[in-house]
Amino acid sequence: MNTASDPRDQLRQAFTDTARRHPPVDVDELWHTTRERLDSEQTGRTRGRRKQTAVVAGVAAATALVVGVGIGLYADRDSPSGPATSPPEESTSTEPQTRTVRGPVSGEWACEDRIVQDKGGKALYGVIGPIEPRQIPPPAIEAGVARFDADVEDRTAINRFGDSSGNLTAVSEYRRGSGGWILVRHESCDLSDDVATDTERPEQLMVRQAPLGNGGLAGDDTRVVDTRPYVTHYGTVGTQELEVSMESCESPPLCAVVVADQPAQAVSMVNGIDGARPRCGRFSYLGYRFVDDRVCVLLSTKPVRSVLGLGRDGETVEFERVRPEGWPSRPELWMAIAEGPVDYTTTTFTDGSTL
Amino acid sequence: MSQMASAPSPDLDRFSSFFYGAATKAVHLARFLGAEDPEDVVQEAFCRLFASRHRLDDRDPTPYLNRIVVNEVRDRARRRSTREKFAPVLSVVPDPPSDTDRHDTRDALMQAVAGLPQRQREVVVLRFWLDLSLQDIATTTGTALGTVKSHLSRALTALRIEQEDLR
Repeated sequence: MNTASDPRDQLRQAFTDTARRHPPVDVDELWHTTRERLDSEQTGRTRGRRKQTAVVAGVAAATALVVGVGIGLYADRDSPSGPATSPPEESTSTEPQTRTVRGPVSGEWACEDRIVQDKGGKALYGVIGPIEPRQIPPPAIEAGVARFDADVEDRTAINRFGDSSGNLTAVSEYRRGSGGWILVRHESCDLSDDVATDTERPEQLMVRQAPLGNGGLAGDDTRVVDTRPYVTHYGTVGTQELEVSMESCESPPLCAVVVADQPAQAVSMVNGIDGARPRCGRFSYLGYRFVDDRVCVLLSTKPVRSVLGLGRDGETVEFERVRPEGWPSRPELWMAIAEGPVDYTTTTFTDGSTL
Repeated sequence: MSQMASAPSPDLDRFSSFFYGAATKAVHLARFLGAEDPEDVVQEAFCRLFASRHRLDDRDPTPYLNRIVVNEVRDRARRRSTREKFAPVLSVVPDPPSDTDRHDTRDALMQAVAGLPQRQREVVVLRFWLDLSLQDIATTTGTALGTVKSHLSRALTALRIEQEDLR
């Protein structure tokens, strides 16, 4: 270090000395890893491997768990579906009753009595984000639906489900909304009178506030069965089974994860609830965990450009998109941790619209 | 960077030459700007630079690289801030530099620089580490020249360094 007396020269010298004090940069190693990155980009793989890892690792524990749940919900269910022209992995199963094969479904119904859900073109459940009508719905595979056929156009899609003889058991009609496919009509063989007469179904599909905290689960995992029936988009009836897990939290100890057993229902519930409106607070929805009022999460099936919140103390809260490995492209997951309650938020979508 | 700049269509070898000449300084730049993982920032910056190399034509890409580094550090800091709101905020109040011990002076200065608001920190680092002109700093940070002067003035005041002529 020289003996510079000018404060500005001292500052320059301080930078130089500090740079020298750090371990030398291993430029060879840096070049090697940069080349790997460049190669991966050129071959179309995800950019910024290290960066992505850092993001995943750096996300708060609450989000990590939420994400884990989400991955379990979506990845596990989505993986067997495969491309539209390929049979699902399950088709190789030795249990033929669980197979769903792509094939012609005749116009003849397998039953005389059917349930019809039709709101004149309006959404029955809201946007069903990850549903791709060309693909066999994984829940249909699990439910043992034998036949599946799809007629997909730009804005509309019709899925037909049939029995092993090729007779119709259910038909789902979709309309493409701005954020994904919307189920607008559903007709299926009568599987439950309760369902047929249930006019409050979309609201009932919401996961209510989980029994957390005081007087709640007291740290024990439990399972909650919502016995109210629902019709899945592929035409079977089920009940909503919720698994509520208490997890160790950093602070305060009020958190839980609610897991549903139907991913499609999960998404429709989420979208029925939030519509790309962030939620902040001490409550839990499917696949979400909220530690306290400062944790805000947003799921959106519509591409989001930015989300800004305004805290009660005037704090501007900027959400960031979190996309850990395995997270599907939709719905987008955005998160922010504020210093206090967030009252107002503005979501700006990539098409310029705001909410 | 002349190797890369002189090539009408820079190939990887030329890019490599530029990399070896500029990477170390870029890593220190990212570090001084407050990056948690300066080498990762530099990797990212070079990848972006490589992707945009055709837009550079024959121009020296160093300013562009610096700008990418600044923006990348800025973006990461912003993202980090949302995750660390729970962490206690440590405000650094710089002590006046002492002339009696050069090492103390150096450390105090660096600590004080680290405690500056991000924009002021950027201006100081670009000015005194890269020796950029005020106009070049404005270009690199994407801000107006007057804003640069303002940031630098405030930063030097905070660092208790005599104002340089900013006219």
